[in-house]
Amino acid sequence: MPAVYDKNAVVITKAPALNYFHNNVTLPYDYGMPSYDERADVKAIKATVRKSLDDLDRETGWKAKFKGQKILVKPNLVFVTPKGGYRYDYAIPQTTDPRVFDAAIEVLNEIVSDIVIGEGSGMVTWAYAHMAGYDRIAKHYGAKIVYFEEMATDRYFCPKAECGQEVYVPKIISEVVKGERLYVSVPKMKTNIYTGVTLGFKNAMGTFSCNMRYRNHTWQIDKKLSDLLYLFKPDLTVVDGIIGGGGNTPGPNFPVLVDKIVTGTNSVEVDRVVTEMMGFDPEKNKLLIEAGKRGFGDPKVKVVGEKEITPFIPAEQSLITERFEHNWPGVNYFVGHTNSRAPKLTSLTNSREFAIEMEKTCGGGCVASLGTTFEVMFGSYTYPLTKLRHLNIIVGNGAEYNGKLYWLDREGKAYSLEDLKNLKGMTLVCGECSSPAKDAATPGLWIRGCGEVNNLAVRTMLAMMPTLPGQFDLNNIHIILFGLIRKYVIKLFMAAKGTPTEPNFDAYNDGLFTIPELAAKNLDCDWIEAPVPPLTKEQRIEAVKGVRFLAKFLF
Amino acid sequence: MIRFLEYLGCGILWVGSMILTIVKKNPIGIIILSLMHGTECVLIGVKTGLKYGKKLPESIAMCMTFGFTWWLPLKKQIEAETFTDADFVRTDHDFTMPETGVQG
Repeated sequence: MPAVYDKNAVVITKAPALNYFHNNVTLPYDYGMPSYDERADVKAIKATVRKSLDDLDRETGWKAKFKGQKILVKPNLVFVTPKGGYRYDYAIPQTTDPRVFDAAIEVLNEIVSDIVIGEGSGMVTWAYAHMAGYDRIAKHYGAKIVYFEEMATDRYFCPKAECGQEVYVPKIISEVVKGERLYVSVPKMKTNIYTGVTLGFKNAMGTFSCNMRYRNHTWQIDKKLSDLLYLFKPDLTVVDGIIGGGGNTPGPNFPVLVDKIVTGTNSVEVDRVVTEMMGFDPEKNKLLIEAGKRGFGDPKVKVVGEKEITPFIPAEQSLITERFEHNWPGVNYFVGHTNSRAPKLTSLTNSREFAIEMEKTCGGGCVASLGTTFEVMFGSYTYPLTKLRHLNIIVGNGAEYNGKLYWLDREGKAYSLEDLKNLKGMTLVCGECSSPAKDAATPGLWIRGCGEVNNLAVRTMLAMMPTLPGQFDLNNIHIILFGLIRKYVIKLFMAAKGTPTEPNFDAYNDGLFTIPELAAKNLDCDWIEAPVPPLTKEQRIEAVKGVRFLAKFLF
Repeated sequence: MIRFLEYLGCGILWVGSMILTIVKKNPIGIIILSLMHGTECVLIGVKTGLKYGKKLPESIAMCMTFGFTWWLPLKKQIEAETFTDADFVRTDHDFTMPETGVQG
């Protein structure tokens, strides 16, 4: 059974103000040796994490629920970029600090019977786990480490879900869903360009394989992630707020000195408290609003510790900002949508504010992915070469006016398809919905699919050549390449065996993946197991074809 | 990648020396490599490997095969990651915010 608490609490614990920048992204060479435990930063982090978890136990009794249980611990592993990867003088704080993760595992290891560390970073988890040192942590505690994108999947239906009714998750998550294994989320305190912040329960995005991620990876992303709480939720959350990350994460972000560890038994409440500590209003965060609407919060939660606010630089879910225009003077941007959320076009000359409103129609989709991609290019050493590159970007299916479609530039001036076709330079058309503008795209630069982040990022970077993303550091690129090949071979092998690691790519639009009609008795369930029948030969061939090395170019 | 290329270069040297030994019956390459790597192994390689946390057989095997391309990066990492308490004192210069890192 999942841990059920009589009362929930969130504990905020302050760490001593030290310089935590040494090895905040990768474990040092002496991890596991006495010299590691003697380091001032390690001692401080271990003491802070232990105190926070002990205080939480006094409030909630979580340790009794975890005693002798099997657990799955999930860090937030994104890119691992040590100092020097990007043109900044710090390591990029995107991934859970391995020292914090180690400290959490040390406490948990004293209580539980079996630990599995699991993660799916969306790219090459094996490589990033190796670079950060998570594999060494697993080895040190005799724990198993699994990479979700390499695991066979199980399917579930969530009848109450608004957006994500059909869900594919890696097999080990089934143990969490069925209550055979407790789930501990150990996220990083950081902003996120798609959802504003990414903390305790948003961390579950990493349990999705790529093709599952792409589904509704759009304006619906907050609903999709909140719906996942019907299936499983963290039994314990430990937020790494030692060095937080602000800005356009998952692009290279900016360090924020917070010096806090936040723990809690209800992840929605933990996220609410941490969002406030980051200087944002949780009542305005769509992700938290959606989770609250579904009843996953706990208004009676007790908050222990001081909610000291450390302002984070917010993520900018927009390309219509002074910063973007300053950084990318050669990039023109046109956006137009016709849907129920978009403002109606009543004139061909509009304001900048109107263009922003138009853009927000699908802020969590292509726009956020473009924002991330440009942040990566901005931080890369190749930025001076790409800064003045000329590129036109078109997003959306066009806003209708007098029976014709138009796209707005940053100042709100409307452009017809003919105008867009006559633009000088290369033109990138983003997303399946933008197909009415596909004729304006430079060959190969109509990015199909809806929310397919990798495809969008790779093609945008190709259009902006020469670009070498900072995370492909020359010291680590062989690990990443090996990891890519490893992942590709494992996924191919499993698809050929008939146990694919993900559903075939099907995010050709932003439609909902609904479930078949269910018996009345099932409608009130949070989830129903929906085993996928064994694949036929044709389906296996399709599954093998569907395995992508990085991004599929001949869509 | 750089380390990978260095290892590759070292491998090519070994293969070249072996070919020289077999085809030309001239073991000079193997002798030079063995002497150089053996000396490095005794003087610094094993010591560095053990300090890094490697086991003795691994340290000897790696140092004899790759020489300084193996032990030098380890030594550099040890130096970079050896701290005193003074290194952990919070200062205003722990990191520098990039110039356009803030919102415009």
